[in-house]
Amino acid sequence: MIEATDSDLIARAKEEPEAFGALYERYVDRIYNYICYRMGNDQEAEDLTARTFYRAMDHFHNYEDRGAPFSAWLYRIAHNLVANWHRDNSRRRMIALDDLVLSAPKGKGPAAKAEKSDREDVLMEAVRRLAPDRQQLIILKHVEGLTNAEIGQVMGRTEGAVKSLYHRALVALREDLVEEWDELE
Amino acid sequence: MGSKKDYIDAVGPERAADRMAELLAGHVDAGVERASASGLPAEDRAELASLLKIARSLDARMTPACPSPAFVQSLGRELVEEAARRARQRKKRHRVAVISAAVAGGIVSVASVVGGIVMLVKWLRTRGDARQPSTA
Repeated sequence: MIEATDSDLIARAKEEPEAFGALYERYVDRIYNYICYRMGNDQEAEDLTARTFYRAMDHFHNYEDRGAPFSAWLYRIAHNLVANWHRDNSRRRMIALDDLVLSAPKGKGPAAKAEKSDREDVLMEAVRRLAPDRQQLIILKHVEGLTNAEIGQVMGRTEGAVKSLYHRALVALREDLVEEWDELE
Repeated sequence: MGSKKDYIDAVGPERAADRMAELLAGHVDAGVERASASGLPAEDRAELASLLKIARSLDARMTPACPSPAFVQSLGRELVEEAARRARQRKKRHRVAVISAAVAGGIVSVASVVGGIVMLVKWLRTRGDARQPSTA
């Protein structure tokens, strides 16, 4: 059976609720994944994932297929919601995902494992200290596995601009990590 | 291989930065393990290697986070129900609009017919009055 294309589902979803459901199933993992890394908290990630798809439903009648993938539109909605959340909750203390997921092995497993975990924590904390556009790029590239051209469509930049931004993001990470990483190595 | 200063003097600072960004993207996207950029000064090759090391660490660390199946199912069901509710509302609004338009159209038609009859009666009366001979 041939799987329906995004364009088919988008055309049908304006009339058929099931078609919107199919689009949701196709992209929910990627959007959740993206939000989860931006938020560092799985409960907030679930909340913002739900809001992303509700907002997509609200504005679906305005969506026009202009050649960019549908996922780029969803990522932009998710990005705006995350940015709004951080703006509105700038004073709220966030519990990092790593604190929840990676805290268990610390001190329990072999020393090497704990050291590796420390190093991963340091790396993820440094990623979260990056500017929002750099964080977005790092997540889209290393978690979502998008190409530079696809990232350009999501971020509204040229492929060359994405490459430059990626270079600057890694330089910033290296500068941020230089002391902590040397200690861990 | 010349120094980094000679290299930047030769290609210009912007071009040197662009080249580094291109090389970095090429190496990361191709999954090349070692930085082997010919024509780069040793200092830049070392920088490229250190950035690639960070890129590899990010690749290793940033594994996809999966939402819980219960959450995915529950949100999916809610969204389909909400989409169905909105579709029903749209249909209902459409039906109300069609019926309202039909009623308004009917009222306008009846009013036009009544108006026409009134005008005709008036016209006939005026005509009849004009035809009656004056007794004065």
